[in-house]
Amino acid sequence: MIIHNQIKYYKVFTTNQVSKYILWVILILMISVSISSSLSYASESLNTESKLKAAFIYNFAKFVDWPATESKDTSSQSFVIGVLGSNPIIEELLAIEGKIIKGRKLAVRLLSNIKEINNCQVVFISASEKNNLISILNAVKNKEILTVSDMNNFVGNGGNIGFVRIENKIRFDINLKTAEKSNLKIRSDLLALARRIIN
Amino acid sequence: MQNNSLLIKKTAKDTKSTLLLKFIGILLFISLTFLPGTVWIGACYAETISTDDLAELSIRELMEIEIEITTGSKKSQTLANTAAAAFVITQEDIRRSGVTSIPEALRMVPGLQVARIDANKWAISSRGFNSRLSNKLLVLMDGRTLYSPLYTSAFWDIQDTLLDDIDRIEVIRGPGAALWGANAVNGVINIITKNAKDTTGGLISVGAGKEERGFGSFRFGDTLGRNAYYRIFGKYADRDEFRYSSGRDASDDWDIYTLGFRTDWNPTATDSVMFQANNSSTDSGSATTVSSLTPPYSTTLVEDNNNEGINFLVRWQSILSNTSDMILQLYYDRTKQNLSIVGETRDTYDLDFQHRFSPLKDHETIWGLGYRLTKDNIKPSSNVSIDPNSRTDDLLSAFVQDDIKIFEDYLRLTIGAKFEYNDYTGFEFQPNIRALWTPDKQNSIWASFSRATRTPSRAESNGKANFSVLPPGIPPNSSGLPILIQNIPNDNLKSEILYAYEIGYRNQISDSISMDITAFYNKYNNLRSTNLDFTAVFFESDPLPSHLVAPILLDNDAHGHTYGIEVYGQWQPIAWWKIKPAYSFLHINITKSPSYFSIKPLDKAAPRHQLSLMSNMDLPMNLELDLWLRTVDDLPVINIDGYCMVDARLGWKPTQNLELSLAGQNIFDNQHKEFNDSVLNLVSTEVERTIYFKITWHF
Repeated sequence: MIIHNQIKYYKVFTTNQVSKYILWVILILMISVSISSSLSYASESLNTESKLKAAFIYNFAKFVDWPATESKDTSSQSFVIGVLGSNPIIEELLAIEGKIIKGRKLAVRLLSNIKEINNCQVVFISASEKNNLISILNAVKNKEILTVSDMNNFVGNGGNIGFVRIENKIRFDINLKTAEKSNLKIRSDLLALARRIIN
Repeated sequence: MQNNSLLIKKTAKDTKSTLLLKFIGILLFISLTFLPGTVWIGACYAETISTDDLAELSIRELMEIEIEITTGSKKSQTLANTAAAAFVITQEDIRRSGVTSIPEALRMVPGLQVARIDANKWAISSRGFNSRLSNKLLVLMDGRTLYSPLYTSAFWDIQDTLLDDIDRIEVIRGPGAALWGANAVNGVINIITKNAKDTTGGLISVGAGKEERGFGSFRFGDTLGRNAYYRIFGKYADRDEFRYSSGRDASDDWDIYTLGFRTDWNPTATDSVMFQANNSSTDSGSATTVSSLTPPYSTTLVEDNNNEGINFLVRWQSILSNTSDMILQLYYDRTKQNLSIVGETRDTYDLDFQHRFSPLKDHETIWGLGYRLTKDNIKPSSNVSIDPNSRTDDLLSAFVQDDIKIFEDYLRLTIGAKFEYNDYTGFEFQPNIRALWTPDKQNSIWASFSRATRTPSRAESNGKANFSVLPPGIPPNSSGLPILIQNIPNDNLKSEILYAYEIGYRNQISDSISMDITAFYNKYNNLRSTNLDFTAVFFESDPLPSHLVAPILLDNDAHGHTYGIEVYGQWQPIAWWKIKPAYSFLHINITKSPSYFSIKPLDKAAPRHQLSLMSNMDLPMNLELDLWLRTVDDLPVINIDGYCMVDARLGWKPTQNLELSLAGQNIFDNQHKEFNDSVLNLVSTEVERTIYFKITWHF
């Protein structure tokens, strides 16, 4: 009996004093961290997945030809990659803005309106736009615009290149049929690396 | 005498509490003073690989870059860069193995001991000490602990989720205590489910067969406004009972229902918020030996035990700069389970915080704080009583780890420790030091030294359990009264202590061959011992009839060591064929005090040799043929003969969205026994052949 009382006494002490005090400490710490972080240090995404995908997109451009666009003298114009919908990939693409693709300077645009799509050579469609996919694909129809996305079954739905994550690595599928319809020439070096090709 | 020692202990604990208060106070002061500064310093030394560098790689090179592994250290790392014995079970491994439950999937991991006690119960452990109540292995699902403080073990019959939505299961053999805390002594298993972003669309999967009487699951995921995704899933499975050695049907059938929800939201490019809720209900049949003081002294109780669980978890992750980020996580978990001879209802509240930053060039520091409150309510039976019936415990923890680049990327040193304060043993200190040497892209060598502790369980500290009754007049009981052999709790138990020495080597021999080898030496002190003391027999008349009690006293007077080797590899001779061999060797040497009476010699219930060989073939016409062979050595201490099992699966994907499969486990054997577990007086059954057909449709 005495033993129990002592245990209870001890428990009351820990629960009421130590833990409450600690809880407060943790809360204050968290607040301090969030304040210090909200002082807005240029935050760049650490997300390797977005970084990798941005690097993939940059590389895709090297293996795709835009015949009509490229027949004109476009060296003074930028090579535009547009991003539809919000996605951390925009940060990573902006990080490589200015690099040279096919003799042109890379420009990255966050598209707020589907009409802005016409100036782009490549459009990355965020998975958040899944419900608008049909209207987006209609908007790029018969135009020399390469569509890329990481949404589920993107190429099956008519997109050009779709990212797929297999285990911890990134793979991609290509819909050659829709690419050809858009008058895009995808080189065989790229096709050889695709996981799946829809003809 | 006992009172005195308790008083001394209490005072000691009070001093520790004061010390802890001071410690936390200092920590608070340091963080408030320096934190904004350190974040800023972190931002100045951007060290991670940039998108610009990645863009210069070829597509072929980009395809070889791995995205992440998180268990080894609480931050993301690739496997080749982890200075620990890490193994990852991927979604593809789960799918192709044909397993239908998480514990069965764990058989893939070299160095883990997985034995099925009956159709719904498993004994799973890492590097020895296996039993249903394996107490040196920490199990987590999405950061939520599945480890019950009642017996400091995980109960596998109540852990389930939609297998298709598991992203990966990360397993660390060896201590993970410096990051994950007490009880991560011999290993950590972290089950990680997919981000809701990766599970948009629908999935329906149904199947039936022998042993798997019928199962079905569904999932539906979609966007939830801008930058937010959700999924909702449910699962039901009805499993048949196994058989006893005699061939008679047992009563261990197993039904499980699960319903869950998860949402992932990115309010900004650098913030993500995850919320999940799960609810599950299981009916696990079991047979338990119950002792009584009147003839026949021992009966078998057959019951269908209903267990229920519900949990909510929210996690906020924020990237603060190039080299720093933070995670804040809060969860609530309620588990109600019935173990035949004892019932437990437990509420757990857990708050975790961690912050990673780079205080100096070449240093990456990660620190965190955690608080857990757990409250239980025990339903006793005539065989088990736990006093007090309800208990609330706090667990406070802090950890810090520094990852130092000693010589560019070739040599890295990780030093870290966890400081914990629990209501059973007070303060626990669990440090580790790890070194990783990567001479080139193909080879890496690592070594580590760690100290980890296993704190006493609620049952060891407060539970009285009737083990068996020796009938009067029948040898060895020559007295005229029944002798009750009873476990007596000991709330002065100390923590079990491990000192672990590990060394590992990984080699990517070529694009198609890789191997991983780990050797370890573990030294254990203060291991809990169970001493049946016939010299301390006493008379008791409550409860009636009058009887003698032979107490089993719990103490910390066992010690010993284990050593072993774990090897696994992967070989892809041709593009469509992958072969994965694994082998592990384990030696256990536990020494008890002379008074030790070996009632439950479970310390040694781990196979000396284990071999596994998996083969995955991608055949023409979208067919997949998977074969898996495993052999497990004898377990002489619990009278188990070694066995060999073959699993097979034939899968066919007629279209991208449809998958049909025929799978079988243990296909060449009618039945075999894998484990005898006398803890909790459970009657084991024999594993039968399982065959089922399954259709999975994605839409």
